[in-house]
Amino acid sequence: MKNQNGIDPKIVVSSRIRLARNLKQYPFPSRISEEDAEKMKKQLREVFRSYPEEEFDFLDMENVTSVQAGAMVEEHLISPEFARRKKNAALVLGRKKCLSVMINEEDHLRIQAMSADSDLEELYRRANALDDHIDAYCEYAFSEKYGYLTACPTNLGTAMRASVMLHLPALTERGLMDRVIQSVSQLGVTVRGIYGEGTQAGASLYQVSNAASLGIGETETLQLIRKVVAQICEAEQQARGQLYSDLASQDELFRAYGILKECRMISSAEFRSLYSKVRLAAGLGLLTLNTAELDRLFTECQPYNLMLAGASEGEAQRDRKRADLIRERLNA
Amino acid sequence: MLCENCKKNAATTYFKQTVNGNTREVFLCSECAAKLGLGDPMSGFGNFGMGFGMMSDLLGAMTQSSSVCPTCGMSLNEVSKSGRVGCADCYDSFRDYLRRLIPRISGNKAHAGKTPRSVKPAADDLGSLRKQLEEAIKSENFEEATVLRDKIREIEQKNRSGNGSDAK
Repeated sequence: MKNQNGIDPKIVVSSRIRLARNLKQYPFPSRISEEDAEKMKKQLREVFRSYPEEEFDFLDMENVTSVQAGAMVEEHLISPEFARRKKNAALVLGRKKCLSVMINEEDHLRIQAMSADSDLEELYRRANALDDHIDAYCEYAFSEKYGYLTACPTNLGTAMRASVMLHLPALTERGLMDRVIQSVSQLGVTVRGIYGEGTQAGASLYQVSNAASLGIGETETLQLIRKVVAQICEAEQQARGQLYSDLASQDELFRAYGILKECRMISSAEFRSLYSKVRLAAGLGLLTLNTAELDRLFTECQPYNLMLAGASEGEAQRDRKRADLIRERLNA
Repeated sequence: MLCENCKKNAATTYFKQTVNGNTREVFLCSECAAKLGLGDPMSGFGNFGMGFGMMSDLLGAMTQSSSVCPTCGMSLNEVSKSGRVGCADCYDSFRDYLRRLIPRISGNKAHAGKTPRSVKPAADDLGSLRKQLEEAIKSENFEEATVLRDKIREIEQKNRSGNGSDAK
């Protein structure tokens, strides 16, 4: 069942638009001097401050602890590379929790709009509006031939990545993901597993995104991803119907829920695989659970998020803390 | 791309040589590279979808140039090793290398999509595009000519269909 934005939460976990931009006057982050980086950050701060649509918070990455940064990576707010890159790096966070901008990641700006319940068009509209605002105050590095100039030539053109995270347990279970990955790659779409897919401990979460951004416009890219996502969702629905119509296979999903509700210690890997089963059970209508809340719990149960919530670095203690949190949420 | 020497096998090695100020670039297959004494560090361009790094290693491995971008100080060697450029001007400083590399990532396509405010509306650039097309044809750079021709057609079509309706 799709929501009013055309999103099927049974399969779609979240959607994201990312735009890479560089200011013409400064060398790219790998070559920028500390002095220029400071100047640029100051300039951008003013630009963000004057954005009429939304207020932003600024975080200097040098003031962010490695645990906080790790938690942000788990929330897909920043890239692992950005978490390591302390110098010159800053994170700009929109108060509406949808927009964020990494300053001095691989490019000067990585504008990101992310949400669990908005579609790509809406996210693009928001990212694009912020991009227009920045464009009014700064001169972007751009060429007629290559489009927006980026540090890595694979991002040239619109410098836009549109991605949708999908939960595909049935296609994974049937061993069809390799075929899916191969067939959509011919359309210029990349699908990759996010949490140890292909192993027993996978959460069956996959990111679908456009492979190229040069020679393909924004609208066309959004249409392409939407089309491919719809096809993959349909295939997943079919596979779910085939795999989970009998009591024995449904029983496995109910048991996963039973373990999560009563566990006292649970590893990251075991939780990933049980989360996937319970999410699937909710999608099939076997359990009445809110998938968005389940996805939030999934993030909260990641190691850095648990540490942020007070767990120590020891694995055993974290496994207890994870179990406590899961029981608390699922028995609420 | 086919080897420019035998025109039979797939090219796996990029070679750039500057003699008395004349720069020559060639793409060769491993056999021809070995025959010409240039060697071949690896075989096959590999999976382009895996990203830019591996391919740029291959393209850059034989690059003999020591050119440096005057704006950011990045050398061609660093660009080919890291798969990243150092600033916007690098796209000009290393244009020969990138002109051969980028089509291998994204196909031989020009930008389609949004343009920043600082760039003039496309219609104003028709004249300069036509001039570039003439030059490309004159210098027998047909790949680029095709791209330019398509771009001109696209703008002309847009101008025709948007005639009068786009008041902005």
